[in-house]
Amino acid sequence: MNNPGRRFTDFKKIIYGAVDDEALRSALRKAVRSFRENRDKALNQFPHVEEQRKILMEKKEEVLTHLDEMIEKFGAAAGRMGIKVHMAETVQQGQKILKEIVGSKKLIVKGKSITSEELGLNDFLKETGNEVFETDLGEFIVQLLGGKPMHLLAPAVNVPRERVAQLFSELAGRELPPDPAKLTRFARDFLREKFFQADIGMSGANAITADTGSIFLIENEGNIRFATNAPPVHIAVVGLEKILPTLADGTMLVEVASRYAGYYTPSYVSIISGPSKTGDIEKVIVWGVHGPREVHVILLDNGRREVARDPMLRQVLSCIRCGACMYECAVYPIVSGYWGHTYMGGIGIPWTALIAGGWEVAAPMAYTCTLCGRCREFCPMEIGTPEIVERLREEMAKRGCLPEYVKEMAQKVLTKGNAY
Amino acid sequence: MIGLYFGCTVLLFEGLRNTLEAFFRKAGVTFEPVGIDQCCGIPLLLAGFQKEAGENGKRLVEDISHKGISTLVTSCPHCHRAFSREFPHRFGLSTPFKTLHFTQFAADLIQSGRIRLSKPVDLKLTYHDPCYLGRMGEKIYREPREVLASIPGLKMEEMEHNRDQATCCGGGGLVRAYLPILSSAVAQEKVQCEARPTGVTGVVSSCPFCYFNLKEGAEEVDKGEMEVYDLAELLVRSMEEPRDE
Ligand code: SF4
Repeated sequence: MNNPGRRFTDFKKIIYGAVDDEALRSALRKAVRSFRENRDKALNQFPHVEEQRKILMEKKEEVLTHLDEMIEKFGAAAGRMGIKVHMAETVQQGQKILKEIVGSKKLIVKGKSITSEELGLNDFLKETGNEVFETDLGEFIVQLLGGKPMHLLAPAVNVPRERVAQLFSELAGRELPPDPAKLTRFARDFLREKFFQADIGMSGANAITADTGSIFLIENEGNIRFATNAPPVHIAVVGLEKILPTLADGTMLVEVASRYAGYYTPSYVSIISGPSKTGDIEKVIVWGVHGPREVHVILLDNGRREVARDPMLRQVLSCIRCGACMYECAVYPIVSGYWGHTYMGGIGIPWTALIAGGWEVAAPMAYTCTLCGRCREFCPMEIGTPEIVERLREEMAKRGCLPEYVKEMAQKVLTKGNAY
Repeated sequence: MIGLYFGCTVLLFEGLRNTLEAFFRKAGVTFEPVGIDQCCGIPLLLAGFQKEAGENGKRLVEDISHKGISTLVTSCPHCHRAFSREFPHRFGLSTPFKTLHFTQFAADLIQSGRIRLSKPVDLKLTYHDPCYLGRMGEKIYREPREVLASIPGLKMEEMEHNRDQATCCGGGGLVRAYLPILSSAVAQEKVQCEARPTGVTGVVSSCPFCYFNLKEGAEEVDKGEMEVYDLAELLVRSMEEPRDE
């Protein structure tokens, strides 16, 4: 679509639809309230996180200013451990690599990962003749709905229990009550079977570490453990920006990200540094004992290296996806993930413009931000989203991607000195 | 000489100009009106026209400098940010005058005893920190609160999130121009979740845009039970007419 005006009117309709959705509003209000309580509790209980986040900011900057070196180090370390590392410059390359590893007619279980959405993974795998199951409960619901995730950490924040019961009942072929415990129980039984039948488990990563070649995964449900451990092959799709220098930095990220996400302490942190192996029978190395015999990391660039070259823009690559900015935003708790493409909310604007979506898709999102700057006050990485969005709007205006009325206002200011 | 920068807001809100003029008259301070109808250019910047905003700024700064203004008072936080930050820092324009927001100027006059506040304003209100005056501007948090505290009869309560953490009214960033219903929804949310729990009967703002947006939002909540006030207007209400000396 190369009619930017149309994009703005379509987007407006979507946003206004969300504004009118009372069930969504009250669900989000509840979510914001409990997020704030949990985060405050976590940060009070572990005050050293304040120090850690500052160190982490420095580490991120160090990585982003030495990206090529870090990629090389990670590749070497992971290689030594028997992990196969693949570099994907673009989405197409990523898909091609994936196709070579996966082939077709496979059963795939997935842990939650936006980077995989960037690759359009679910559709791509289906198109190439595979069956895919999301295993994070929220993502599983979203997948059954055929919709899109509405929050980084709570993808189904907008779906009431009755709707979940309906979806699960259809899948089960029997009536299930709208009881969260019972519904969860059903998902557990249903997915457990998939975990053990699956040929391939897929995940993203919260961090990968250059000194040890390790993959860090944070979660509460335990699905990622299963997905990355039960199937014989594990593939992690990882954005380049996730590299950290050392294993110790990775553990620091775990604390910062989970506490800022209001997780207190996550139930599970997996650190995967290679395939499963044994030498217990006559010192003969055998791969794939209880865990996967193959581990692949697909490192995705997709514009990241270029963003990292710009001192102002590269801040956005230090995002650890805690989601704090979204809960603390003025707009997000009203419109949720409708304000987004693959990446959502204020921080989603630069990610959409520069990495996943492009300028035209990002422009309506950009003019939906009030530029109030509150997100930065709550961001552990102090990302200056408002200044960045201001700068992106400049590029959007140059491309003619701005709302009609805003353009008229600007013209009036230029011709008669004011907009009214 | 003191310049009062009217900007474009006086076109939008009729009462604002009268309020500001009444304030200066009652305070017995003479001023030179400047920039009537003239936009400071922040909307250009926010729309994405940085170069044009710079040119607009250059013209304004030259104009004002010619008038021999030493202190420029703005009632709109956006103009305040334009003159105090964007023009000198982003566009490298030399501004040979000091820029004060109305709340700073008024707080100074109250502090030095130049104006007397005697008529009580019997209300219980909460103050809304405009983003461009606070967090996104020069972090002017103390002065508006001092002004409000010196109005007799007026009781103030803080919202749960204030100053650096104050929530946006929803009108900023030109969102009101693109998605006015969203702006109003944000304002309603603020009234319901931030203002109402303080037990006040109204919200007071020191930004014409926040005032307008909050007012529109508040009308939609609880049959409009929450009132929205402009800080300058409350101040003028409490001031005495100047005595002839
Ligand atoms: S921008 Fe900051 S607050 Fe938002 S998700 Fe990223 S790290 Fe968290």
